[in-house]
Amino acid sequence: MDLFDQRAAGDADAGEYGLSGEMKKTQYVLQLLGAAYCADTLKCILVAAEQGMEMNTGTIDVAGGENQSADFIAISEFGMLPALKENDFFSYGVKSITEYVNARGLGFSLIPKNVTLAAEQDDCCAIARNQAGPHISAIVNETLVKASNDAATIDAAKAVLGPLLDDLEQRLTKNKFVAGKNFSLADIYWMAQLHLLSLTPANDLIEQRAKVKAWMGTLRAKKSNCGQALIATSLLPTVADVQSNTIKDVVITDF
Amino acid sequence: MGLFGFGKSKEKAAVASKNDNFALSGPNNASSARCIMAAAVRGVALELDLGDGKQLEMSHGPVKINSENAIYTYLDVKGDGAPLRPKKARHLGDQNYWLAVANELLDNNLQIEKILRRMDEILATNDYLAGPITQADGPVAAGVLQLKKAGSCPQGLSHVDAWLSRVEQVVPEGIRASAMSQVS
Repeated sequence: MDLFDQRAAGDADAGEYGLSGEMKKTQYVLQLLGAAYCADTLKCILVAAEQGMEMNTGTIDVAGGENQSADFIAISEFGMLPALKENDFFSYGVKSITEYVNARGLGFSLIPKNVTLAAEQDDCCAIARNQAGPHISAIVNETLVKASNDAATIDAAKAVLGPLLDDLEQRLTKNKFVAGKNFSLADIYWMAQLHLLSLTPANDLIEQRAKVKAWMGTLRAKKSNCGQALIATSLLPTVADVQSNTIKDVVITDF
Repeated sequence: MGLFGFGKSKEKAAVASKNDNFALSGPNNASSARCIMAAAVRGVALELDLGDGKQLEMSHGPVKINSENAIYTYLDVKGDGAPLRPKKARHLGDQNYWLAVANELLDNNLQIEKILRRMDEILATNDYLAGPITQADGPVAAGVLQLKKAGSCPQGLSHVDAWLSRVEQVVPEGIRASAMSQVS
């Protein structure tokens, strides 16, 4: 039994589909391993919920280095996180998993068809993950995970995030969503990052920016992309979830 | 918005003309090399402006793009022939996995030997990393060529070497020599 089946197993007693290899709704059980304080993990959960794909989730103690353990390397040979299993298919890393689940999902694609808009969306995702991500992670680590509350680290991270959030505010002044008029992966990338930030004392960075705050409010009330009775952002972790490294499964009740 | 996207707003985006050239500015490193190779396998010759301290940016007429994945996405459609982005979800997942391995691990000199040995195993039975040729092959090949240039590549990877030759042959002859000299 691998880590997926130890940590993100389906419930055979409840008759959950796909456990014995049979398919239903063209989907096997999706099993995801990640961490509540890992924004990349949250992006995968959001895409699954938006696209109506059920997902069993389990956590890895990244802060304790479990992602380098022999058990984890046995399922993710280079130690990349998050990790996804669907029957005999394995995938690792946020772009790989989000685009895989997006392609397998039931809703319309979260990637624009127009190539220039698709490239712009990729740029927005890169800013969220590569530029804002490390600094939000530092704040989350200092205030919620390690909780050492090092003021210098937090202030340095906030100083970098300020201009990035100013740019996001400008984008949301011109457009309803991050990469244009339509909801896309760029919204999911930013929402996962900013949700974690909103749980910390650095939430003032969001409160000070009306458009960013309003856009987060819109996403917190938006029904899933595939039209099912699920609000994807309701699956995002609370402060207690982050501190206990707990993430929620994606459960679809209205097929 | 419904299941099939009815009700989605149509948006206008900047459009380059056929006569506009593709230009890449950026640092003289593996990141730019991956973009050059991504362009080459799509038959696009980039005007280069590389140097220390430059930020990665590709321009095509009024279109400006600033991140590697966005550059791959754009070149895939704007280059010659059918796009390499796979339609099958599994191949798409594998494509993006190998791109992440090249960008996040090989680029940082992490697990080089382990990754290249695994690639050699896969390429013993596959012509390309994800099965069919995808957007990943050009950039990952550039990453491996950069490691070879730096003397960081282990010996005895015959299947990787054969794959590098196959990828090189995908580049149109007219731009092949120039592109390969820029990445290897």
